[in-house]
Amino acid sequence: MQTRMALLGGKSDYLVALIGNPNTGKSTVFNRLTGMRQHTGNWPGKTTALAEGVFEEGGKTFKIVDLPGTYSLEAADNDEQVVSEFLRSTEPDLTIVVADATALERNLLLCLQVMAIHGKVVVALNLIDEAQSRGIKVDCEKLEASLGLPVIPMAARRGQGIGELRRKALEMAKAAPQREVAPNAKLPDSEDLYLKANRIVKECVSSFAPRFGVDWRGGLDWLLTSRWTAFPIMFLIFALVLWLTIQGANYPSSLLDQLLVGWGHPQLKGLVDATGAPAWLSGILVDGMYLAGAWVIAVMLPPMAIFFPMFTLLEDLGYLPRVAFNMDGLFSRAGAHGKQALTMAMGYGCNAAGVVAARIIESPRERLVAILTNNFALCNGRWPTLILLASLFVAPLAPEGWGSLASMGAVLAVALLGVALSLVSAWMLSKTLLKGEHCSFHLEIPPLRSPCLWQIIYTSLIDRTLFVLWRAVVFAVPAGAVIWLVANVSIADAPLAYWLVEGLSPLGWLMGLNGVILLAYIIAVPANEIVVPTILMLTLTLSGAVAGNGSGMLFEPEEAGSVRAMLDAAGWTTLTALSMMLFCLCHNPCSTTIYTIYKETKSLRWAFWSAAMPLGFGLVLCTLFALFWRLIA
Amino acid sequence: MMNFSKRLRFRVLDERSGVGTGKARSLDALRPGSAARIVELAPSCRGFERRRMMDLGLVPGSVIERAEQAPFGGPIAFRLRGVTMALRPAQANMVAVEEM
Repeated sequence: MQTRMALLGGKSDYLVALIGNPNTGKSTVFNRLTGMRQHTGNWPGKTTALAEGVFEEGGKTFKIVDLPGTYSLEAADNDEQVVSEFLRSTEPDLTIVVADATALERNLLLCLQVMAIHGKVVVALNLIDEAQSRGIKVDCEKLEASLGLPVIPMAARRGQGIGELRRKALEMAKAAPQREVAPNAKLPDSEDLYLKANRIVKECVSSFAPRFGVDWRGGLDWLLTSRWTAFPIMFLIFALVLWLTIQGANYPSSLLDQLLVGWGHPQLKGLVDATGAPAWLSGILVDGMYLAGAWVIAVMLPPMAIFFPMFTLLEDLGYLPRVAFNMDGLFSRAGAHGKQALTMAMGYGCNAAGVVAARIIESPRERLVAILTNNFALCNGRWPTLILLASLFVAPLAPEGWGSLASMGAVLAVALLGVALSLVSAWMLSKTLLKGEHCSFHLEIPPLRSPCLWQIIYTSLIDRTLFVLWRAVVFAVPAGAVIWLVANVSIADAPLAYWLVEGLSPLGWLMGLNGVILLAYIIAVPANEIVVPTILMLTLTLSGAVAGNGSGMLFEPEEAGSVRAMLDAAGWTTLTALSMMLFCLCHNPCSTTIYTIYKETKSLRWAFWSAAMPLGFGLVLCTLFALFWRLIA
Repeated sequence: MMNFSKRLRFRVLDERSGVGTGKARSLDALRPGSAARIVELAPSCRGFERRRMMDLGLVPGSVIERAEQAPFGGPIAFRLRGVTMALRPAQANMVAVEEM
């Protein structure tokens, strides 16, 4: 009862629990009721934390708690424990069970279980429009009679039925309980409940032929998952999304760069200098912190603002669970879950977002595997690095006219190596660190749905793009200060960077890299996007080409030719570039991702391993590659 | 591999008591598009796994229809109580069914 008081907080009159099977549109009902927007996905198990909201009806305030989606109240896993404990201990004034009208029989199990332990229950029969279009008709009056509960037909995505649900909630919260039940009553046997559910459905649900003879979903579904077409379609969609992201981001990125760096930087510099601030202060603040933050926004925002909406569209359509279905055969051999294909796909946009996406994997073991191996999915911040290196160093090796094909092939090879490494490391983790951990699999394949555009834009831009961008900026700004200091603080007549590079050079040589690259990867840990600008800046600073004010400033490679000449002068070879391409794939995740892993696993140990494992791979692979290369060449 | 799964299948059926008509088999052995009635979950399916499969609606008496299998020996899709879901072959192997 204490939790109940805490939840009501003295401000709300009634406490409402919202429960339902995964994938019934429960979170949509929650958003519609409270007006508070938050993420809803088209796959099971999305809601892990308890979201709370408030709505008002008839002068009364209702506190509503969105409980995790569960199939039953039998405490088989964490989420189910949370739900059943919540119902038993806080004694809500009303429980709303959201049920999927297209799959009523399965949904009734939970409903019947709730009835056994709670006295005031209302059924929100959601997705009634979808049932209609699939030729399923539910007789709500009969259903009310056989269940002995009020049933509100709804199409929450369109807002239908929300008003009735609110009114019903008010009416029921005021009224006496429907039935007397002891909160600690035992749950009836599932088999009996299923028998009952089956009987109810036979009475209340009838099917009719859909208006349009052929069910287009069936055909499309077959195309998306059948043996011969599934993989080509998946590959095409994936390639299209990546291509649109990389190509589409070019123009807005350069525009933002002109605005924030080209125009904003000198303006700000002038402003700060006008206040009479010392040079070192304006250096750290404007040339270091502002520039790093501006750079990260310019290079990260456009690709994410393109990638995440496309990904969310695929999610909303219901395509993603089908990808998991197609891929599970391969992933299961590595001890991983098919849904890992989705977290990896998300990782191609941003690894931090990929790590968060691993919440969709219910089994803790497979979820951890997905989190720890996500770094092998090349994120947005690394594609440009690879493309630049390949076009500078791989393309010239190919015969005349084949250059761009060769560099594309090189980038693709690294990406595919990433896929292979994530499977290999998943397999290794299952055999070592995660040995003997519990494993389970089930995958619900929801029907394909027409997307809800506003929801997509909202979800992808607010929940994903801005969330990730904010974390990245928070980490990049202090890094900007460090980068500036490293290039500008001098010890014994040489910048700090010089001594650090000297110290890292032997290891760099061993790995086929150089000290500058390693130093850049260390100080640019906040974002992979700033690795190349940091390398160029350090190279320039150390070669003495830029003196005084210009050093410590990140800049964009303007002309490929001049960059190549600069790197050649700094001693870069084909080996350096190829090793760096390998290291770009196999190194620790950016600090944003490591922090996210810590937040998601609540474990320093796993955060450590998530960084150590790919770094270990990078050390070994680069060293072997360099050894091999030097032996051959 | 093939032999092993066949052996497993027979063991599942032998351990069942009573129902033993020629039509009985395990869920993964159903032909695509055919429907069957669930007889029971194999005794070797225990604890969390058993609980979860029952929550998903895999209880005796339920009618289940087999759909396609994913490539590379991946999961098999089934329709049960209006829901499409996928189980790995090893899991489907633990469900004894009677063809209808």
